[in-house]
Amino acid sequence: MTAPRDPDRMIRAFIGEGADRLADPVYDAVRAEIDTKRQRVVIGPWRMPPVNKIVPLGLGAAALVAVLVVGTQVIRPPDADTVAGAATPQPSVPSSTATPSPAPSATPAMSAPAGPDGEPGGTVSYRLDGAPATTGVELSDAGTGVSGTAVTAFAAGTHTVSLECAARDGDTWALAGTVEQSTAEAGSVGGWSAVIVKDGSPQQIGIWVSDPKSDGIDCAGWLAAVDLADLPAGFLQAVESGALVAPSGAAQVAGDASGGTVRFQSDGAPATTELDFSTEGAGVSGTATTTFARGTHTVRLECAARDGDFWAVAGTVEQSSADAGAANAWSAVIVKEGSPQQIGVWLSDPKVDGVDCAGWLATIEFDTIGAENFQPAESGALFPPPGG
Amino acid sequence: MLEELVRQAKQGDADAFDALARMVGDRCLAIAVRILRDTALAEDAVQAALVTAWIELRTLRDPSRFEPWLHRILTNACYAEARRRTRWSGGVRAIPAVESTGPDDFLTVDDRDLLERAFRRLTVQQRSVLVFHHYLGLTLPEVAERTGLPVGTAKSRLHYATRALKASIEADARATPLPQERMA
Repeated sequence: MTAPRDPDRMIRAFIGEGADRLADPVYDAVRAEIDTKRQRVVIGPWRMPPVNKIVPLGLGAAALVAVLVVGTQVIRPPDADTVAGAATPQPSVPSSTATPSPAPSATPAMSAPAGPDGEPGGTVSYRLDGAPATTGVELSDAGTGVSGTAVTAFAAGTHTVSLECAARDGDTWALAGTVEQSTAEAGSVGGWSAVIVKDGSPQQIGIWVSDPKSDGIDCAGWLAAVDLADLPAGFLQAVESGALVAPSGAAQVAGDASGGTVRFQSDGAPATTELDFSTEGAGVSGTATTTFARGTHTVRLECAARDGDFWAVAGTVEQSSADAGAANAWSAVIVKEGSPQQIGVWLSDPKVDGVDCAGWLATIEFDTIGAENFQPAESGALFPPPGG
Repeated sequence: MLEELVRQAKQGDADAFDALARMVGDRCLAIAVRILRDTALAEDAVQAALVTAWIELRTLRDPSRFEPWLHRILTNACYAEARRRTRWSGGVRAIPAVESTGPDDFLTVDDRDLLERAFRRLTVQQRSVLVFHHYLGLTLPEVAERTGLPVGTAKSRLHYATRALKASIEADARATPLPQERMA
């Protein structure tokens, strides 16, 4: 007589079987690659950068500087006068076609709520990795723009930034621009850098440095990807003397750049897709509403994915005027970053048991989708969820 | 030893990283093979993960956390490979992984085929949770850390995936006549 089999044991036995030796050519290939790839340099107070946010970098004692993860992030469009945090950078979002998403509310320039009074700029002294450092900011407040220079002197030399833009989120504000000169080991001259200040008693300060600039991303766009509201612990250093005064041109930062609205043409008629969602862990919740000549197509969002220049949010069709838009089917809004962004809305066959949102989305071959399935954005822009 | 290699590699020592990769590579491959069910894809995922680890190594604050950190990178690399496989293979079923770990006598060929088919119906995210839990014996918080999921989500995915596999086993058992029934 056959004894009943234990399913748990069967599953464990099945998962336990399989290859478990990595072939030598793979090690060789890894070695060949790392010999040609530079490590991202992070020197200074250690911190664990939040996933999917631009990595803040500090100035270090021995060498300095560093690098920023731009390639995998999303950056806000150039002419954003509201700035978003936690956005993932996009390679290129032109100012002419990708205006800021309407999600963040634009608020006028403002000075630091609890910051020092006086002319914008100033000098502060603090300690960086145990050594004295100073940052001096000279700037002229040019309306909503900013121009001037920030010079940080530290143990290993100086780091000079030609300032071009500013942003604020609550009591934290930032001045950013192009690195003119730096003793940074990583050689970031020509890249972006920011002086970030948190007003309070005492003020706190930190310096961010980026990789070389990416096409299509201006100062405000780069700075938008720095989440001023969620700086990693240990990034900011207490000011020991002096104070920095924010320029009035530091635009208010909105909390979340994800989502947005984009306008495009669909079958020769104007169409709009609006994304409104929040994220929790790896999940996404919210709605995507596409309005077109025939009506609307609404998707309850559940998941997101990214692959190269493409990203997508997907979920269940709640309501649709589209021919193929069956309720309870999967649907996705797929965005191809570029100048301009390209927008496509996809619909699935009815759902299949056992396939969840991420599973369905994983079956879409983003980079093989024909160009005819995308429409160029005419105005507005969509921003992906962090970690999509 | 491993932590010392991590420290050296964080300073840009490629030889140290090479040695480090050889210490952890087999386990990475084992994880990736079990998630992807394809040795070639798994090798690609491991290679991508190791290169990413090299680039990002200086963001790792605590060298003792290297393996969990690497496994998180590896999980993402597996997801990327799974997506690529979807692109390439269409409806073509991937070749089953080479079984260099000796097959468990507890499983019959039919069992393996049954479980293979059921496993492939799971999403790659569900598979990764199963592998980290059952193969590495990790707790749910540890699984969540490696997969980037909230603990509750990891738990529900483990539950769903286990239930799906068990359902396949039980359905097969019901479809297979018992010996005495055959005799009758």
